[in-house]
Amino acid sequence: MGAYQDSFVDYQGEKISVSWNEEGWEEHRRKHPILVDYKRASELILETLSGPSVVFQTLEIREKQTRVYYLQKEVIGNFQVHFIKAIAGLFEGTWYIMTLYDEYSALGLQLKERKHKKVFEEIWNNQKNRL
Amino acid sequence: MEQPKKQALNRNLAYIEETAKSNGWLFKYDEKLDELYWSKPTISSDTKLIKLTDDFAFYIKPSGEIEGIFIEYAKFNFFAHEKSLKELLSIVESTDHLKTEELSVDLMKKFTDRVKAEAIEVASFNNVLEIFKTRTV
Repeated sequence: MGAYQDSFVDYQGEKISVSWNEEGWEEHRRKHPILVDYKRASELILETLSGPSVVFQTLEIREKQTRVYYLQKEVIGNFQVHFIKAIAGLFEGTWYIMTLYDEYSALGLQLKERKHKKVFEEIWNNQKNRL
Repeated sequence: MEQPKKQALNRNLAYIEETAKSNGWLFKYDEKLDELYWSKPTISSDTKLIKLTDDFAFYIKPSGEIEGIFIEYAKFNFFAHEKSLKELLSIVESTDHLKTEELSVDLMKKFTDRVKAEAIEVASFNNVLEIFKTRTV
C-alpha cells in the first residue's frame, strides 16, 4: 500500500503534513476504525484542520514538544456529541499529524483539555459551535 | 429490542477481565501521544469509541460487546492521580505490548476494580447504545 503522505492547510493558514510509513498507518488503523483508507483519512484531516470547533495547544505533556489538538464536534440529538480529533506535533520546524480519531461522548461531559488550564491553552473556539 | 444488547454490554463490563483474556486484548502504551490502550489488537470496523466518564473511553460494538479501553493523557493525567496503578504504567512503558494474562493478578485486580467503578456509570447510561442509531462518519 505504501506510505501515507499528504499535506494540508489549517484554519489559520498553517501548513501541516502527514507522513506515516505503512507500519505506522496500520498501527493507527488497527486502533481507529475511522481510518478506512488514505483518501478518507485525508478528507477527515482536512475537514478537522480547516474548520475546527475548538483548538488547544500545549507545550508540556511530553518532551517539551508543542502539540496542537484540533477538535471538530457535532451535536447529535439531545445527549450525544461526536468529536473528530486531530493531533499535530511540531518537529524540527514542521508540523505533522500524529493521530486522528473519533469519539462519542455524553453532551455536557467536560473536555479533558479544558480541565487542565495550566497545560492546555485554548487558542481557537468557533463561537457558532461553542463547546 | 435493545435489551439483549444492553445486557451484553453490562455483562462485558462486569466481566471485563474475562472478556479481555478470551479476546486477546493487549496493553499498549503510545509514549508520543501519552495514550494507553487495553484492547483487541485490531478494533472492528463497526466499533465506536464512546466516552461517558472522565477517565476511560470504551470501544463498543452495536451488539454491546466491548473491544477495549482507551485512556488519553495516561501518564500526565490518569496515572498521576491513580498512584496505586503506577506500576502498570512502568510495565507497559518498558515493552511494546503486554498480553492481558501477563499482568500480575494483584495489578489486574486493582486496574479492573478501577475500570468497573467507572463502568457502572456507563452501564447506567441508558442511551449508550442509541449512539449506534446515528449515522456513521
